[in-house]
Amino acid sequence: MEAQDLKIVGRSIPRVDVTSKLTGQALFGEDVKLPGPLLHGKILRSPHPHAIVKRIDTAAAEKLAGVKAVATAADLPDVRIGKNLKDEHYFASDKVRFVGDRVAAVAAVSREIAEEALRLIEVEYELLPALTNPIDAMRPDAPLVHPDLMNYQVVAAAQPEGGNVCSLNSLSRGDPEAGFAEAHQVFEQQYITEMQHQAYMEPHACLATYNPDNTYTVYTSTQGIFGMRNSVAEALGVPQNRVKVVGTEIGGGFGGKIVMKDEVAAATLSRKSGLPVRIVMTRAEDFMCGNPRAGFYITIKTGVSKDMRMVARTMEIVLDGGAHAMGAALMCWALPQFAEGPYSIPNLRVTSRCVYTNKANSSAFRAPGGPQTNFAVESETERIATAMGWDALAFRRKNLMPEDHPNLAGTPMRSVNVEETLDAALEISGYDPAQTGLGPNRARGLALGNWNVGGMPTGTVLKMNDDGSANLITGVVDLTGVNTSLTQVVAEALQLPVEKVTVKSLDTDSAPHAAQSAGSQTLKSMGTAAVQAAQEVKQQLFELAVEELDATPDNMELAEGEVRVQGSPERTVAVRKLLAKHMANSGPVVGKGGTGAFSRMPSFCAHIADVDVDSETGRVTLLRYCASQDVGVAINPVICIGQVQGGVAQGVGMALSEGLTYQDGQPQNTGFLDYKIPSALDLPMIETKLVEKPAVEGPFGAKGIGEPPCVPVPAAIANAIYNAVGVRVTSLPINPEKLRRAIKAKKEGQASS
Amino acid sequence: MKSSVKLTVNGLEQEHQAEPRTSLLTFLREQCGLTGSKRGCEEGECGGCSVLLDGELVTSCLIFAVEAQGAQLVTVEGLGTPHHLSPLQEAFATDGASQCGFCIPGMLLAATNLLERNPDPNEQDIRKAISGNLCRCTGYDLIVAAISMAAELKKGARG
Repeated sequence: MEAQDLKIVGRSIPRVDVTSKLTGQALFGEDVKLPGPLLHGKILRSPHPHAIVKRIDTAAAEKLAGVKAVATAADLPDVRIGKNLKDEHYFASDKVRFVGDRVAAVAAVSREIAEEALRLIEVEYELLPALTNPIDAMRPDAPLVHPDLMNYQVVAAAQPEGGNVCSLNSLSRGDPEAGFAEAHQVFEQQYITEMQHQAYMEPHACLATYNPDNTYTVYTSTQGIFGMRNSVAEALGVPQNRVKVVGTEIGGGFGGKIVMKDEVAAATLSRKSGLPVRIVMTRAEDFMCGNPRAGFYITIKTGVSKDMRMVARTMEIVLDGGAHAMGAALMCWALPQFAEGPYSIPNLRVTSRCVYTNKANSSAFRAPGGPQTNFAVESETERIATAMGWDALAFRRKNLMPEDHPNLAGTPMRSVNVEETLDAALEISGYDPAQTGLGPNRARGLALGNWNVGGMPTGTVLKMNDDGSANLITGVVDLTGVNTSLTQVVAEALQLPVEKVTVKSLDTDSAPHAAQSAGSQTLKSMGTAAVQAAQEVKQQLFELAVEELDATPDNMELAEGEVRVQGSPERTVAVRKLLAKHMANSGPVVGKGGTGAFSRMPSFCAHIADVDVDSETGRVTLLRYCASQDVGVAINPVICIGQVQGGVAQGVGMALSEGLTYQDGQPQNTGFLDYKIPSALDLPMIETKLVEKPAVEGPFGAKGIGEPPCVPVPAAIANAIYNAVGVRVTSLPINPEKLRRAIKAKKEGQASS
Repeated sequence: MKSSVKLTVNGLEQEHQAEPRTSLLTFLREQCGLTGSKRGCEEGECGGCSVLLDGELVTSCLIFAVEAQGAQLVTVEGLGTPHHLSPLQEAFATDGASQCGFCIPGMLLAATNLLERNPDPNEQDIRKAISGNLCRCTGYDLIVAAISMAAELKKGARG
């Protein structure tokens, strides 16, 4: 791609939403205010992980003073919902399948009365044995979470296998078995990861009103208003035009605010009570009923040749899907990109099974499937190199993915900047593969990461105002600063100062369909659409200027609020004047842009973690962390850096402390006291290097940036721990208890041998 | 059951009815209409509801409104206005310290409190001061940098 002369793209302008967020004015899910009285909704959730619901009696709750409505499955159409597989009733009707499954809902004049009413709802359960582990769930005699699985309607991606396996996906190339047979050495290992909760700081919150014109308005903290609108309409059994979803400010999502939660309960309670109903999850509810990152059981087998090539690999993955298929089933389909890692392996097969258990529904969490599989891939890279006596860095370099490398689906990977990204991390950290030790129990570890960024269908409208300023209308949620980046993209495309461009996220009634803010593709999709819209606007302005400038549109350019004839700077006309003159005849200047889905293209990162291991307690302290990332073009570098650092922090949590634990189907850690996410004291400064080389697609060559930085963190830390104390931990999180045990076992093994 | 609670928030006197069990956070959000203080966990772990109560940094979810009778409170809404941000808020804006922004009100109050006690904090002082305020977006670096920059700015202003 040619060098670009960019004025506004590439500058770290402050986020357009920053003032409202710094002054407490930003309205998040729970902050939405409407005139008049408001009811508080609460959900009755199953206390049992697996049970048949025999009877629900809400009479006593309905009679409690202050209760205005009670809702159950009887208030909704008898339909099963689900984005990949229709396997869920909004309110449990026949069975409950995890602790937290929605049974009924109450709206009352206060939260306390609503809570009191929940206690008055009588539910008769017949308890069933609970499955807390997908390996157990695959045994032939395991109880079935969904006995009707094979009769469920498949919507997308999911391929039910039967039993508790709600999706089986397999993709391959070459002949892995032949590859293993010819290999110089074959390595096999199992890796296990736990469910990780997104732990966004804002719990799920929504407010719904049933309106006099038989429509619903739902205010909710969501990553995607259109997906939410479609889900709500489906569950309510009404056409999509009768539901308006307004996205509030969103206090973090990371994939956890895509799936519909209590919105339909709030809408139903509002219809029944005639008043707006707000439902806010407690933190415990959010931990119980969220959509965590799936726990993985991975068996990875790699064949290598004498000359350091990875010649064959199989990866078999069992996902802990939880009670419903949701995003985890979709993830099975996305996993092959990770099994190969940032490398090129001629013989490759990836098989994944998403398995029902009686736990929270797994779904998307930043780089779904990425950190789990990368933990296996990059731990193996180092383990193999160590066993073979190879320099792990040279081993990596020998196998790096080349440009145009076809992925398992056959799509050639473009803009493969993996080597530059690796070099950047080595440079900022001063990493020397021959000297990973930093002193007693101290060492550094390296891991590469990749994430393939696609794009989702999305549209936008760009309006020129009478004074030459512009408004971009989108239905995209500003989760990661995308409205700031879009402001820069539009300003650049129209050659306007950023002050003359406003980007607003509107509701589902007002904006064209937009992608959800997820998968690192938000700016890629919406930015591409915005550039198209700007092209349309330019074209319209140039046509209006034909008479004034006595030139053809293809000879014109926009600059500083004027249409100019290229090469003749004196022949200009102000956009403002053009608009004033032609409005009466030609109407307003409005551009629209839209894209379909993009194929997935890779972004890379390279991380180096420096750790200190307390060999007595097993506690790991991060001394230093260096991260480089392949961003294409950084539209707003500070936003990119913030994304990288935040992704690293979440990866550190996954590596060292986070994991949802269950005992007999009962969640054990549903608060920040027991579920530890990193605090400011748990992290070092995260030294960040953005590697810029314009990508073949994306606005101005920008790549997706959000997911990659959490991908290689667990592996980088596990590799550093190995280099520090010689212990290879193959399950996450590597908490002090686990590491202490592993160090002790190693010492005892040495003593006895 | 309800009793009258009178206190001063950001220099304005507020008097509303509150039940004995009403938390200061709920009182601020629902009675005073100040929703800048955030309900993130209601068990004093996330720090999103941090406010200054008679100059002390507290998590308002763990204090009953009636306990704050007569107190002087500062919430995020009292730190600066959209047209006139405080130096700390300016530093947060310039340094890109706010991502989703949900933790930011609590962060700003913890940082304000720190800079009042210690005008020249080092990195570790800052990390300690905000260690009761969880952030899931940033990895804290840009927040630490912003607080450090605000301290520098204040020092410069004092000359």
